Amino acid sequence: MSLDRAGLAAAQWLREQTNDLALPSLDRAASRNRRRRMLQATAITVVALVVAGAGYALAGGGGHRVLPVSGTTGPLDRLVPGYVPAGWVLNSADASPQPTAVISTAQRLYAKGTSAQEVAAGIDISSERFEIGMIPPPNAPAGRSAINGHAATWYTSVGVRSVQWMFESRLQVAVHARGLSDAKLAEIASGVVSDRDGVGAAGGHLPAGYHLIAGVAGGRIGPPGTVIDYQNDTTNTGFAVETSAEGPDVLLLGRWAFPHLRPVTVRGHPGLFDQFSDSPLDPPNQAPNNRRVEFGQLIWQEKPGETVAIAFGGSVGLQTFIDVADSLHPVDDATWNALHTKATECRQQGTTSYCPSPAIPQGEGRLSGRLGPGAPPSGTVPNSIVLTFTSGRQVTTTAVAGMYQVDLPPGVWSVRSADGNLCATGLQVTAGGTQQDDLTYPLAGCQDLSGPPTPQAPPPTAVHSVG
Amino acid sequence: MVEAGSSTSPSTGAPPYLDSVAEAPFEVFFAREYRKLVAFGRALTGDQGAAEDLAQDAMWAAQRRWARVATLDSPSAWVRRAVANRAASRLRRVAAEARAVARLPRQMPVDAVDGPEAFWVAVRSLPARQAQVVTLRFLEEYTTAEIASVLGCAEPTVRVHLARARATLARSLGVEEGDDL
Repeated sequence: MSLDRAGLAAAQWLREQTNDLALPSLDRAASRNRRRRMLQATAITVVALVVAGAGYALAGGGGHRVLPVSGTTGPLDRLVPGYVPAGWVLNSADASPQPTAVISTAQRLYAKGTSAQEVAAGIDISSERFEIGMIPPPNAPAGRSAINGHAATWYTSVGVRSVQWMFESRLQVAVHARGLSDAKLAEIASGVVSDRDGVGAAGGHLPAGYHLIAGVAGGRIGPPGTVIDYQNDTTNTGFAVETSAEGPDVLLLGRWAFPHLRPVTVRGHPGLFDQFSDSPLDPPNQAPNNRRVEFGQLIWQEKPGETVAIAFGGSVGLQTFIDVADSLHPVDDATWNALHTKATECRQQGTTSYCPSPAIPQGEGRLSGRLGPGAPPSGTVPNSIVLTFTSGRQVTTTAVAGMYQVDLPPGVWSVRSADGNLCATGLQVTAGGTQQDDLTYPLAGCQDLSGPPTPQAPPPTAVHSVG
Repeated sequence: MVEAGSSTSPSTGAPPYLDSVAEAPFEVFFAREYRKLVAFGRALTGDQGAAEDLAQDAMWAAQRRWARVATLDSPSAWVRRAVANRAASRLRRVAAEARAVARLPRQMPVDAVDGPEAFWVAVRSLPARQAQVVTLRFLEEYTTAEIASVLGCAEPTVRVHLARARATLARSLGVEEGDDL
C-alpha cells in the first residue's frame, strides 16, 4: 500500500467519525471555553499530583495486597495564603476534587530491594523495577509472540522494554521494565492476575527479590479538599494551593511518581520539593532558547489526614514556595465563601477569563489580550515583545502563549511592537472598563480593531495616532 | 492519491480555505466548519474531547471578533491556525502531565494499532509542525500554498516539512512513500 492511499483512507475514516457530530450551541461553546481557560493556565502540577495520589495505595512490608488510602481524620482546614507574590491575582477558590481527573488506567509498581520506608526516607528508588498496567484501547495488538495464547506486542521505548497483550479477552495489559530480560517479562506476564483494583503479578511469577511498592486503581477521583489558585496575566502562569484529605501515603507515592522530589522542611513538617521543565514538542515559531516551560511543586503533610501541595508554573525558586507556605492560614466559612464569590464574579464578567487586578487606576481603562495566533514574517517569535502605545506607555510581554495588559486613559489607541511586526489601530479604552483584543501577527497589514462600538462606550475622546 | 488543491467550493469555485464568508453570519460559518475543525483537532491530538474543546475554543474566539475575522480572506484558515497552535500547546501540557504522573511510557506503539487509526497515531508522533502540515494535506486536501497560508509560513518551508513527514510516515507505517501530488 502507498502512503497516499493509507492517508486518504485514514482521512476518510476520520471524517466519518465526525460527520454525525451534533453541533454544540454557541452559548455552550462559550461557557465551555471559559471553564477550560480557567483551568488551562493554573499550575497543572497540583492536579497532576492529585491524580498521582488519587486512588493510589501503598503496600506495606512487601506484601502483595493493595491497602486502602488513609482516610481523613477530621475536617480539613481551608488554607489561604497571606502572602501572594507580586503580579499574581486570585483566579478561583473551590472545593476539590472537581478539577482532578479520573484515572483511566491502573498500574502497580514492583521494585527490587526498595521498601516503602526507604522511599519515604528519600533513598533513591531502585532502578530495577517493573510495572504492570491496564490499557484501555479496544484493538488487540498484532503480535510476534503470545502470552497465555493471546497475541502480544513487544516494543522498546525510551529504554523501557514492554510487552502488551489482550488479557482475559476484555482489556489490554502491559508489563514494562528496564532491566529485565524478555524471558523474565514473559514469565511475569504469564502470571498476571486480576482483582477488584486492577491487575497484578501472581506471587509465584515474581522475580526473586521483587515486591509490590505501590498501586493505583483505575476510575477513582481525587480525595476531598480545597484548592485556591492565582493567575499571573503577564506570564500567563498560575500557582495553586491545594489542601486534601490525604494521609502520608501520598508523600511516598510522590517519591515514586516524581523522581526528582527532594526532602525539605515546611512549617516544621517534612516535605518534598521538585522543579522540572517541559520540553515542548517542536513548538512552531519559537526560538530554541524559549522552548522550556518550568513547573515546581512543594508538598507536605500539615497534620494527620491533611496534605498540602503548592504548585507554581514558571521559574519560581524554593524560597517563594516557602514564603507562601509560611503565610498559609485557615479561614472560616464566611471568608472562604467571599473568596469563592469574588473569583466567580470575576470570571463571569465575560471580558476576560481572569480576575482583573490590581485595581484599574482612577479614570483609566484596561486593555488586555493575547499575542497570536500567527507568527511574524521571520517565522520566529522573540522571547519578549515591547508594545508601545501612543500614550508612550510600554508593555513588555512574553511571547510564549503571551498575554499583554495595560491601563490607559480613555480613547482610541494604536499600538506597534518594538520589532514592528505587531500593529493594530482602533483599540478602544473606556474609563473603568476592560477591553480584550488579541493582537495577531499580520494576516494583512495593520489590524483594525475598531469593530462595533461597545455598549458602554464613553463619549468620544481624542483619537491618538502612532507617532 | 491526494488531489491536493483540486477541491473547490461548490458555490464559489474558490478553494475551500478561501470560502467567501464576509457576508455570511457567524452561525453559517460555525455550522459549516465546526465538524471539520473537530476532525482536524482530533487528527492532531488523538482525543475527541480535546478536539471538540479546541474547535469550540477557536470558534468562540472567531465569534468574539467576527466583525474582523469575517473580512479576512480566509476565516477558515484563521480558525485552523488557532486550532493548530492550541493543539500544540495542549500537547505540551499533556506531555508534562504524563511525565509527572508516570515514569514509564504507556503510549501505544504504532504497530499495536490497526487500521486508519494507526496512520493518525504515526502522524501524531511527528514533530508538531510536520503533523500539522501532513494533516492539512491529507484531511483537508490543501495545496502547499494553502497550508502555508493557514500556518503562516513560507511555501518552501511547507514542502520541507511535508517531505520529511512523508519519509518518516512511510518508514513507520511500512508503506511505499511514493510521490506527493
